[in-house]
Parts: sequence; C-alpha cells; structure tokens
Amino acid sequence: MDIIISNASSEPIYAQIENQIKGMIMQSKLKEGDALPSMRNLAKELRISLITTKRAYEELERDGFIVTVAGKGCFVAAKNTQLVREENLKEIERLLAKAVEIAAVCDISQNELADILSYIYKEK
Amino acid sequence: MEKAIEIVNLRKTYKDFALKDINLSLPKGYIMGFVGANGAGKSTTLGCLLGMLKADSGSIKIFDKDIKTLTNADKEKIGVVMDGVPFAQMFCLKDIDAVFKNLYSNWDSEKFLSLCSRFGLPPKKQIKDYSTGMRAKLNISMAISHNPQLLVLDEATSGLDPVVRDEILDILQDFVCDENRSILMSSHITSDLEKICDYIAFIKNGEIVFVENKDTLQEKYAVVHLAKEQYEKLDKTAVVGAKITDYNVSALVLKDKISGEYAAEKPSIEDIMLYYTKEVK
Amino acid sequence: MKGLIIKDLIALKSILKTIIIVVVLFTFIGITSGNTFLVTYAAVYAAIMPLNLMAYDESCRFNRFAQILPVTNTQLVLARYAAGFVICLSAALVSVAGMLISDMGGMEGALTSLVVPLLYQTFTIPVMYKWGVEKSRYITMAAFLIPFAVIMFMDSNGTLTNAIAALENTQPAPFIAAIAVVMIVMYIGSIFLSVKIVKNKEW
Repeated sequence: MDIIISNASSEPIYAQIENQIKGMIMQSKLKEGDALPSMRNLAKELRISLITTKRAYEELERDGFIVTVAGKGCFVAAKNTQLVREENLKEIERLLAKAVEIAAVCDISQNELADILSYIYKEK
Repeated sequence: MEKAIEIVNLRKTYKDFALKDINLSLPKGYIMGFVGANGAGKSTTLGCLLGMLKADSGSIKIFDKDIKTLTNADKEKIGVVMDGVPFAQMFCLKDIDAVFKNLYSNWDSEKFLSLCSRFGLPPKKQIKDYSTGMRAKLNISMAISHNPQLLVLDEATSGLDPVVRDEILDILQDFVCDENRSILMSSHITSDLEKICDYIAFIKNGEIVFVENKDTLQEKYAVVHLAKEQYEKLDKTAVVGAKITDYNVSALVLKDKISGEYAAEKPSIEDIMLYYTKEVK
Repeated sequence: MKGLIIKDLIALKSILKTIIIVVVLFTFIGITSGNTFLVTYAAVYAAIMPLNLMAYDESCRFNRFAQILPVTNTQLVLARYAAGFVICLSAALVSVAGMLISDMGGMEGALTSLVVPLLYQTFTIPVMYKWGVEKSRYITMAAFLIPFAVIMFMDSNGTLTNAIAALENTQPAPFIAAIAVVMIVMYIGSIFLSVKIVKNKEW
C-alpha cells in the first residue's frame, strides 16, 4: 500500500491519508475485506502521530469506507454503490468546476464547453 | 483506564527554581515527548511523577490512581529509565537478572538477556567497565523486560550514536504497538521525538508552554523569513519568537494569524523550541 | 523484597574473600596470642558492613530507583536492617567458634560481638539515611571511636571489667534482661525512624 505524505501540501496530513486510501478503494486497489495496517503501524511507517492516523481512519469509517472489527483491526467495507456513486459525482463536479473556471478565463462560452463534452463522448 | 498519566496543577518550589501549575495528561496507548532546555523542569516533573521528589501541591495520578496510593502490584506495571545504572559497580548482567527476577513477578529473563545480547552488552563484564552508551542500553533493557504498561524515560538516548538511537526508537515504537502501553519520554534530542512521538509537551522555566499533537504543531506554525520592514508590519500576537539579524528577520508565526505570502518553512520541533526561547515581548 | 537481599549479597560477595582472610587471620592471631579483642574482630567488620552496603546504594542511587520498584519503603528499610542483623549474627558465630577453639570461655565475649555492632547500626543507619554516608562520616566514626575510647579508658585500670564482674555476681539475670529490653526497644525504634526518614526523603 503506497501512501505518500507531502510536506508542501496545505492539506492536513490526516486528510491526505484519508483521500489516498479513499482513492485506492475507489480504484479497487483495495478490495472489500482487505485489512488496513494498524493505526500504530501506519503512524510508525509514516513517522506521524497516532492521533493523525486515528483521525484518518475515523473519517474513513464515518464515510462508510472502512469498518473496525474489535480486537482485529480495520478492514475495507463492502462497496456501497451509493457511496461510490456519490464520491464519483463529487469528483466529476470538482473537475467540471475547474473546466468552467478555465473557460471563463479564456472567454469560452457554456455552449462551446457543451460541444467539447459531446465531442469527447463521440470519440469514445 | 483512559489516562496513563494525569498531572494537575503540580507545584514545587526550590530556592531558585519552581514548577508552576504543571498540567500534563498522557492518554493510554500514546507516546508523549517532553521537551525543554536544560533546567526547564523536565527531570523535576518526572521526579515528582514517580514519587522520587515530593510535590508541594497538585494531583499526580498514574493509571487513574493517586501515586501515593500505588501498590507494589501497580508499580510492577511501570518501567523507568533514568541517568546511571542503579546497581553497584561490580554487578554484571547475570547479577542484575538475579535481582530483578526476585523483584518483579513478570520479569522475563530470556527477554532481558536477549535484548542485552542484541545490544552487544558483554554478559560477564562489570558495570564499572561499561561505556555511557552501554549503560543507556542496559537501562532500557531493564525497563522493558518486566512488560510494563507505562515507560517513563528521562533523557534515555543522550550520549548514544544515531545508529543505536534509531534502534532504541524502534524498540520503543514496537513497545506501544500494544495499545495498553504508553510512553512518556523527555529528551533534548528533538529529532528523536519527531520520529516517534504522538504528542509533544514543551516546558520552559518551570511552566508548560503547550501540549500538542506533533503533526498539528507543524501544521499550525511556520518559520518565515522577512525583511525588517515586513516584520515590523506583522501582527505581533501571531509571532512566537524572532531572530533579528542585520540583514533580515526569521520568525516563528502562527499560520492562521498571518495574511499574505511569505517565504515559509515547516518548523521542526527544534525550531519551535528555539523560537519560543527567543520570545518577542 | 527477596531481590533486595540478593542485591546486598551480590555486593558483599565481591569483598567476601578479603573479609574472610582478614577475619580468619585476626581470629587466629587472637587465639594464639590470647587476645580476646582480636578474636572478636569479626564484630568490627560486622558493624561496618552495612555502612559499605549503604554507600554502594548511594553511589548508584538505588534508593531513588527503588521508589518505582514493587517494594514499599518499609520493605526497603527492613531489608537493610535484616542484612545488618544477619551479618552481626555471622560475626558472633565466628567469635564464638574462636572462643571455643581457644577455650577462652566467657559468653560475654560472644554476646558483645553480637550486641555491640547491632547497637552501632541502631545509631548509624538512620543517620546515614538522613544525611547520606559521606556527610555522616564524622558521626559514624565518632559512634565507633568514642565508646571504644571510653571503654578502653575505663578499663585501663581494670575498673570496667571489675564493675561488670561485680554486677554479674550480684544480680546477673535482671541486669542482662533489662539491658536486652532497652536494646531491643532502641533497635525497633531505629527501624521506625529510618522508615520515616526514607518515606519523607527527596531522592
């Protein structure tokens, strides 16, 4: 499992971990039932505090991506399709928002943007 | 048990030094680094915690029990590393093992001797012929080999070379993989604390300046480099400390109180310690 | 608590050879030259041994470390007195053996070599706990030399020996019993005092 913490990023460390694990689950690099490293182990390997890894895992559990089994550790939760869909929608929205932002800067209209989208679908 | 250690309003006054309202809590399962300059009060605080020094006032609890009420069974769960080996000069490993075997009910001779051998401590050599590094390694082996739930270390890695220190830090991290175990360690080798600690407690002139999650510390503060005029314009409540030279100013600031773009670096714990000492009045 | 005794035994073991040689030598010389004092020389060692043991503890700060060991301060102090007592007992046995061999007779000699060192310890152990072995040196030396000097002086013209003999001939039993009771009370008092000092000490 590859997790890289960027010191330069303004994102808090627990969020970086949370997002990277989320990404791996979404891309099926981590499958349902896979065991996650213990919070202490992760903290040790990444040289960060247990508080941070704990927070990351708590957020992941709250969002339904992982489950904690008492005495055994944390595991990837069954893929909740609704959840996955929501996450994907969030990502699409984010990317589209960025496209709209760029379009505004170079004076590209909404229609031109829609044309580009149709073009991409046709190419597929 | 929620907290391995809970110190509330600890006070102790000496002729030219005093601990003032020390508040320190270590939740179970975590590692706390206790950092401060020499003479800031680390050893005094730890001495009071372990009952070796008598506090003037305040409450000190280990495992949720007042330390004055700790039984021998409770003390079996505590391991301590202080300066010096607490045995006479003619003792060797076998002797120390024999003593502890008859003091601790959970003493693990095999673990002790194998740890010592891993550290390269010669079994027949007398303590009087041990180097500083060997003594430190011996102390740590002794502290861990009765499987305590709380480890208190006072400058346990001073005088050790980086390779050995790294090995010891590894052992300490393995120690806390069991979430029932906790560590409080004082050191002025801040890089060691940076590697393994969850919390950092900073003491200065007998007072606790902060107790924080090590990671948020580095997210909260930044070291900025400014021209003198820029520094003058800064909101001084955001500045912890500054180094003013003829050419520029370096300051430790609270990130959220500073607006604008500056050349900023993530602070190391050493930076934080140093800048707090160069306090801006 | 057993570990505490073992610790002291290990410390003694290292100087045991020297002790045995000296004691055997002096006892032998005492026997052959008919000098009662030398035969009881083992007692002198017995008096001093606890001092050495406490000095060891002090130099390696064992008592500080003991605050976090699974032993109470009472056990810590008791172990110290127990070690001292056993040492005195051994010394007394050596003296008795010496006396029997040389046929010098006189159980007073053996009794002295048990009681005098114990009395010495009664006074010096609390003092050493309070002020440390080094700072107590003058006191511990005085506690050793003054009674010694007094006895020597009083005995220079046989006054003391005659006095004791006279007392023994008159009413030996109650005399000895009274002294025994006083000594036991002082010994126990010494233990209580030491425990109190150790409990309140800043290590």
